[in-house]
Amino acid sequence: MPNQAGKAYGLTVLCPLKQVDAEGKSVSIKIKNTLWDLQMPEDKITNEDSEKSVVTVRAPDFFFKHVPNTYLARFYILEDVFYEDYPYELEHLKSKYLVFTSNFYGDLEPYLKGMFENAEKEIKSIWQDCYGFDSKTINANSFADYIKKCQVETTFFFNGSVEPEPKNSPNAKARSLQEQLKSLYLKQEFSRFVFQNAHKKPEELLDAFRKFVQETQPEAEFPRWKAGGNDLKTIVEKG
Amino acid sequence: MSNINGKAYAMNLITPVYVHTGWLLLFFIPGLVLLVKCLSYFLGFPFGEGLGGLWAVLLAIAGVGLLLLGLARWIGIVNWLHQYLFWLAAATCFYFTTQANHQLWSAVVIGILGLALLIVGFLMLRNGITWLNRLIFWLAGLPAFQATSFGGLLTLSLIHYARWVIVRDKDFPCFAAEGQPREELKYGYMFFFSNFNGSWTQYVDSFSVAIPGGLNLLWKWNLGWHDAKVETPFNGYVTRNQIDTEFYYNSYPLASSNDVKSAKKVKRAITDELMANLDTISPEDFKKKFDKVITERQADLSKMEPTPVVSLAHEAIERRQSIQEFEQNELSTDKSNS
Repeated sequence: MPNQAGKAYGLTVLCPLKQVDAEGKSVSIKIKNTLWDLQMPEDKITNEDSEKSVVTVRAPDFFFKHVPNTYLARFYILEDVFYEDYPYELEHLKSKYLVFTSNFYGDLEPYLKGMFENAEKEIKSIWQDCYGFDSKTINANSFADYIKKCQVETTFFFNGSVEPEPKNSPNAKARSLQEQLKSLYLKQEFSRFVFQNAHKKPEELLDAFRKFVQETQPEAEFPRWKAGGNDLKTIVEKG
Repeated sequence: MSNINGKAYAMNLITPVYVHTGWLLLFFIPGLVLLVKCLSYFLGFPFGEGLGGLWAVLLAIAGVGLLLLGLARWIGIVNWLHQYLFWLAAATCFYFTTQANHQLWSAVVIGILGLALLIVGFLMLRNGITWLNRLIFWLAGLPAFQATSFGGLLTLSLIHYARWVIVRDKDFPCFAAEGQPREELKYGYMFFFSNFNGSWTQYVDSFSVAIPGGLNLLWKWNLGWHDAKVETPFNGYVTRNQIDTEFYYNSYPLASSNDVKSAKKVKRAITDELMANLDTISPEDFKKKFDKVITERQADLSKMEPTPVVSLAHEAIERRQSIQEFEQNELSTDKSNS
């Protein structure tokens, strides 16, 4: 199936947009603003000692971190198709489209239901002005059905994040996002361990490694990196 | 606009592809019939009735005309109106394929005409190849061809995930009951989505240098495509057909594609090798195993850090926060002085 490469799924969705919303405003501009607010939410910092007490800042924070098994996801607005100059013909789309793509681990139906269950508010705010989407009646099942109606089949899906692994290894299987985040955590911690301990005597090295295993729990689910974490100070999730 | 999140860049390209397939039947089938008729003369098989001299001359003129028009289309100096001339000429030729020859000169004329139709059919094939594009991708994705088709991508190791999606007008989702108009497009469109590490320039340049053959294979049949080897027109093509991403989520913004792959190897080395017999192993044996593992895995061991600019927005926030911290420090200093 061209949408999948192993257990990784490449979802491509084109959702037709209404031209204007109920208030007569441009839907494509409204969605762009919504997407910006969702990925860079406003935060107010209060300084009690200053007269300029409240400062508004924006920091990246993605609701997709709560959507299980999402590797990478994106949205953009397809306003029209491109013209390739003479002698080709000029043509236009009749509708604008919200393009949503996601690379995730697992099957489509449970992913979409999990997405709705973990991001219902955000989903409604993004899709509310799309044809075929009724934000008043939508639920996890109908959202999955709606997305499947808008899905276009991938022609070719390239997964550059996997490599063949030895068949006799217990780890020789596709990795879920959680496993990837655990592996990244271990790589970071083990690299630090090597830099700090590689020169030590055998007894000290063995003791240090046993302590490392106790702390990092390589075969347990936690600790691992947080999904979407971009700050090394706060990236470890203890579980 | 949010094309970047951490070490990943989101690229979106949309490029038009020819869709009409009627030309294939109109040119290839008559062309093949005429060639068979020509060969039948030389191989001695009876094939139809005799061909009169006048018809042979007309067909020869039609054949030369088709060749010229085909070449003109190839170099792009005529527009789509000439398609209708091709239809007319092809229909005429098809009619005369019911005639045949028992003379050398008419067999040669039919042979030329058949060849001309095949060539024009091939040129026209460029107009009808969303299915051919799909076939190329399907073949390229087969395990036997993957190394030759996408080996360059694996070697470059820049990409987390990439995908190509070819859609025609009938594939665009439509909710007609709600008043959405149906799309009517002459061309198909190939969407390309890539999640890669590094900057736009690094990515596009390395593609052009490292795997131009693979790019030409996949984009050759798209309108306006030139050649991936020549950087300036190639960069221009990418720029003209790119759309900015509005929202880009990356579950591991600090990691490159290579980090993800290395992490799996490191975890396997820890769990399968270093943790084996950990309670009973002697310090000396562990040291030997440890040295062996870090020698084998040295290319996979590195500490991940944020890139200098995680994103422009993030950079702006950091700048603002540092200004804010500075202002707060100044205020507290003023307060303590007063």
